[in-house]
Amino acid sequence: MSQRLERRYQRLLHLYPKGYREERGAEMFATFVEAAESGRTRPARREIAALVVGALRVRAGAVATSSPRHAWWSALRMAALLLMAHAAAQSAAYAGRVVFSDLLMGRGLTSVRELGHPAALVAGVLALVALAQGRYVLGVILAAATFGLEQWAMSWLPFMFRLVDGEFWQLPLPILLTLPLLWRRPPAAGRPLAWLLAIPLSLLLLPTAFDASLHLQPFALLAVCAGCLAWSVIDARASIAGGALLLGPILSLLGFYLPGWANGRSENLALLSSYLLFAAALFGIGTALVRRRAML
Amino acid sequence: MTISAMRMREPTYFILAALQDEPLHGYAIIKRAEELSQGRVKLSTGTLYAALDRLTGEQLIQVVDEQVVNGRARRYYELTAAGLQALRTEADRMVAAARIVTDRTRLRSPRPKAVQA
Repeated sequence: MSQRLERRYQRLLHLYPKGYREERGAEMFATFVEAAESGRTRPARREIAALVVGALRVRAGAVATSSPRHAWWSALRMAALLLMAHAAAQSAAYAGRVVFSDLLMGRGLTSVRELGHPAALVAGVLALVALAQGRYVLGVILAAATFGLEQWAMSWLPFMFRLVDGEFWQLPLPILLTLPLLWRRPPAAGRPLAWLLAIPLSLLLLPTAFDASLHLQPFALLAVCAGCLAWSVIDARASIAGGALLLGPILSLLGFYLPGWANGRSENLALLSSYLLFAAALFGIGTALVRRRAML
Repeated sequence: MTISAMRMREPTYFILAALQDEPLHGYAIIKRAEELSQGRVKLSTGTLYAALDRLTGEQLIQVVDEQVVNGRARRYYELTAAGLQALRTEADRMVAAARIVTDRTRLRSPRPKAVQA
């Protein structure tokens, strides 16, 4: 094998995480050397594709198990974490206004209830970390505290309006999804604190009260769902977690069908239909992929 | 025999089949799987190691030896009892599926020739 080809294989191996390379790298490289056809100067396309997909799967911690049930538990955990990160981002958007606009700019608080938002942010971040570490009981308690604080802070708005404002379900949903995890505890991933990065990303890409990303909605949310769908080639759980992101907006829009709402139904019908369509597609494709990946 | 749902892909089947007789290292598994499948299964190295990770995790194969040959690291894999069982179950499933066709073909009487008026 030429030195050029050797270097190319070495570079491809660097796609894998360090720990994996230390365990498998020398052995894989030896197999490359033996399998390399004489005269070849670059790795075959299907070899590159297999290595890229394999490396991404290892990095993503994609679950490879013959038990679809195990994969579903893991997908549920990922969905709960994603929703919790989104909820913490929502708290961060409000807390940012309270801290920077009201306190630091000297405008002062209009009500002490506003302090519920920064407190909810702290509780939400801790809930996310606890869930990511696999401490599900603590995570549920902290998420419930976050919900309580957010509802207290928003209590100036009548409950009926809160139900349809798109933010109400952001906390009950991760709590509900985490409840089954209390019974069957899927193991925590390698780097639980990495989930904290999902908060600023959610702030930018998902619907929150953050002004800079509000005008991108609902397209940014649907783009994130499309991204989840694409990523499900690597990790089947992503499609299911992406579908879960749409549950909150769907439930909020369904709030317009509660008694007492005369308006808001026909105006939001197209949006509700597209959310339902996307969610059905994501859950359907996710389920099929989980089954497929369960095959040995 | 009832036919259970298909649980094994063709590359996995031939990787396990390649390890039936003796422990093999990575490249030897690629060659043996290609030979047993009559050239149908041509495993890339990336695909092979993803499958080996998965099969090791499912405890269907295990590492039995590690050697350095000509400065190259080699790890030898063998089938576990569970791996052999999984392979045989899959083989039985395919035999049962094939019998549905082969038995009927054997029993079917020759078609009567059309009689010209």
